[in-house]
Amino acid sequence: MLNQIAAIIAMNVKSLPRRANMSVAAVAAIAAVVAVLLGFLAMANGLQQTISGSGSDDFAIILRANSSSELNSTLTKDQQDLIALAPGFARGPGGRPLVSRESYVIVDGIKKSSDTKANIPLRGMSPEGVALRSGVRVTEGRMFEAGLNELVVGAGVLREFAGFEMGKEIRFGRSVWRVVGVFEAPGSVFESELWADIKVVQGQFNRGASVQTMRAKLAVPGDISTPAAYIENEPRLNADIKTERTYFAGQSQGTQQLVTLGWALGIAMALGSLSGALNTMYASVQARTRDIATLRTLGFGGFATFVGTVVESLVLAAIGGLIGGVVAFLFLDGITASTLSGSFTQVVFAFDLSPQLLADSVVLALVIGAVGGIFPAWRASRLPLTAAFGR
Amino acid sequence: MTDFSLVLRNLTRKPLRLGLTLFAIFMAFLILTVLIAFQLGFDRAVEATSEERLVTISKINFTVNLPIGHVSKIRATEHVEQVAYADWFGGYFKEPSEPLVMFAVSPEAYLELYDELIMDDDARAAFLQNKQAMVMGEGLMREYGFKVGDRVPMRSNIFQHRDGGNTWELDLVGTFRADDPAVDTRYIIFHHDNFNESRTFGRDTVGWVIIKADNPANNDAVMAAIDAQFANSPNETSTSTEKAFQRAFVAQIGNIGLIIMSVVGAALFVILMIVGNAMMMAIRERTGEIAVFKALGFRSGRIFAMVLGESLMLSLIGGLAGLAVGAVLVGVAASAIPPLAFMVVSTEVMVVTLAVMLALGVVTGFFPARTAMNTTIITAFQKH
Amino acid sequence: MAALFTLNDVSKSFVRGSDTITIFDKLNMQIEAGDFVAIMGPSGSGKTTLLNMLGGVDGPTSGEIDFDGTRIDQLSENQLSRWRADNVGFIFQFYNLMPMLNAARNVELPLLLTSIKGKDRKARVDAALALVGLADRAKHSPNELSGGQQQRVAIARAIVSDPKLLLCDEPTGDLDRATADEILGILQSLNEKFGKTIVMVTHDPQAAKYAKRTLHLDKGAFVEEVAA
Repeated sequence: MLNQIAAIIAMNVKSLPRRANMSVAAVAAIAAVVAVLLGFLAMANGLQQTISGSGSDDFAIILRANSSSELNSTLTKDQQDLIALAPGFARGPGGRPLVSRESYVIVDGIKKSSDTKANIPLRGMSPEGVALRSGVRVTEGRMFEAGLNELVVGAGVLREFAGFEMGKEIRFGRSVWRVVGVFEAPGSVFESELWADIKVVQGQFNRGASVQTMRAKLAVPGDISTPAAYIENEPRLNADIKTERTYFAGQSQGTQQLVTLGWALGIAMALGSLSGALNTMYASVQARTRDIATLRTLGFGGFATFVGTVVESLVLAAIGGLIGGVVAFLFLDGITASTLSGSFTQVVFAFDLSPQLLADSVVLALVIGAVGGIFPAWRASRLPLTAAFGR
Repeated sequence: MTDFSLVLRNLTRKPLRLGLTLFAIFMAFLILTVLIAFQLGFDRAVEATSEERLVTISKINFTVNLPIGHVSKIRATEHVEQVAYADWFGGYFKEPSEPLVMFAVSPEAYLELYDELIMDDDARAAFLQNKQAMVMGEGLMREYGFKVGDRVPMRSNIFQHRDGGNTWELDLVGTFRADDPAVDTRYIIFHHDNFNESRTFGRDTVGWVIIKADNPANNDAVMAAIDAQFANSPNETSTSTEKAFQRAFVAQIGNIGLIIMSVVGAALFVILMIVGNAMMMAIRERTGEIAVFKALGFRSGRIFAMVLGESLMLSLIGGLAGLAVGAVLVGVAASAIPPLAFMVVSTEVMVVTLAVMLALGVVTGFFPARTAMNTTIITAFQKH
Repeated sequence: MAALFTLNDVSKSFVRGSDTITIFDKLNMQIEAGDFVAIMGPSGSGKTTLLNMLGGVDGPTSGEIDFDGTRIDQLSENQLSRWRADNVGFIFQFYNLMPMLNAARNVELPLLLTSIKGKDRKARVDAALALVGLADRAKHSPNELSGGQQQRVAIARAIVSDPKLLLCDEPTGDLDRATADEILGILQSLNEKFGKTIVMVTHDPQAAKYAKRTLHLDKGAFVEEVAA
């Protein structure tokens, strides 16, 4: 039986080029579906990785209560000082709590790709701020110096925006800044930011002593219960504390819509290409009516004929899926794009085609192949044997 | 029997293949309709913003506020006819995850400048006279189930009320609408005075200033004059037309839209090619029969027309069904998902979709039709 | 000689629309092992239907078809496949070679249905091809072969698994006279030297001359029997 099936599969597959036109059509249809689906999923994946990948359990972010993002938060000087006293934060040399006061200003940059203005976040932070982020590495130059109008530039900003190269002078409003360093923070939103000293930012942007958020290293990673209880019980504070991971996970919810949209489109197109696959396979069975009937007359079983046709369809689908995957990989994986994030600033991210996504879309391709094969295969196995005779 | 019935016969000779091909065409045009409705609707929403109104923002970024003193200085600038100002409230109702577009504005001047907003005189009077009042787009009111006369607690995700909390109690005194569906009315306006004196920080600033020149021809001069006035001050400005501002904002969404459109567009093209291929195959299979028609004395031109008619009919039947269902889908989406309210299957969308259908029919029919036309009668007597 | 085939009261009818078309009504016949029977008759006389029933490709409406003690009219479709693989070799008017397989592989096909493996298979394929005089064309694909050569490959395919019975449907219908005579010569020698029982449907009186006897069918009945 296996012999028969193997022989019929081999014959069917070998005969594919004879029906090149229809075979190519089915393969292309399935490839198109897979490429579209992967395009969306890779985009959503990349964006989500970037936003939620920015979060670690080691750090906590403190915002004004009910602020959905940093931009909407403010903490007064008094509140900052109270928060700095909260228990449960890790301490540095000299017993000082490891906290950073951070302000968040949006400035304009010129996008290289479109030559248009776009929002970039400029973050003022305490000198401790750099140590309160994981995976940050200065790749060129040095960190900003406290008290000076100096900027360090995220690698993402450098890639997507013009005029942020080392040593360049930049004007925001009336203030002039000098780029003294470039930093990398692979796969995180921080790469899309500019960093400077908090005091200078407060001064240059008329912020007084207020900041947007505070950031602290947790004494016990992931455990915010101690500082949270303190903040809750302190009537002068009206603030929320979240781990960095929780905060960024909340920011990435919008990407789910991209995934949904991708699957909706993918499935709609899959239905369209399914009829293409069915047409191809019916045509294939029809073109081989005589061959199939001859084999059956020679004594080959109906089941072997059935399986052979289904496998032929699956092979076409797999080729299509693979081509779609390769096309998506070559043209879409790693594309850097930038878009508006929830806090009205640009987030730079790269399309990320994970093996899981590839697997998902190949499964979709095979489902198309299986459904597109089963019905024609049924017909193939029911062909009257008399079709082998005469014309 | 007419040529038309012959075409029909040919089309329906293989019902299964016909059904499958029609379904593929249907799906392709369904997707196409929704996409074009989205794209054109989006473009129109941007284009519907005014070329006449000017917007002044901080040179640093539009999220940075300007001192309220700028307003009177701008009003005093030569050729400026009317000036309004607005501030971003960061509003929401109950759910912080469902933000509302909400502006604190200088009410009288704002309504004068945005004269495309249609309001009853009563509502207008009530809004102008009550400092605690707000008005919103009709659709937005329906969406949230508010009624005129309600006092609604609106919350801000940015500002604190001086009485504590982040809630502003506002009287809903009326609604506005617009004749052009591309004009966005899904927002709320309320009194800047009320907002300014009750917020705990950011006092005496405005988010942006909206200006109308005495003559659009003076726009360039006005823009230049305003920005020059504040140059080298602590609060430099950047003035552009509202449309340019809107375009720049949309551009910020970035190349994502372009990428999506090109990926889907390419895929649709592939699907249409496949359908076309299937259609061509169907006709090519019949070379022998076509030769018989010729042998019977049918003229080449007539055969050409019949084959072309067949593919056009196939494309139109599938395509129009896709367009119809797509239109229904767009309608449902536009009313069920408020952010997609700008989507509409306009005449423009129909024309574009119809053009693609005709192109598909002609392209896929032309080559086999030409082959059919050039088929020699001998083919009829050969085995194939 | 023992009867290989015994047909008892075999009837066959089709329903077409509202009409029932009867092709055979209680046909009786016997075919002995080692016989070479030509079946002739005008179009529509039922000769191909008879051949199909003998090959288990089509079943009778009623009646019995006994092959060497097996009631093939009672076999299931799968049993019939098995039975054909073991007992019948088919030769078609249009050869019915698989276009994507070369001559040797076409011949090898029926061996896939047996337990014969590797070397033995090759030996059998070579022997079958040699027998039809095409040992040197083993690697050619069907479209590189003439009609006569293709039919010889088809004969090699029919005999490779050594069935008792060969069923031929107009085996020379698509060939010129000289080639037809070659093919018929091969069939005749298969019958005489290897004792294959052959049933051949043909239009061609010349072809029928190669058979041991010829049955003339007309309207579902044998009209006369002529010994060769």
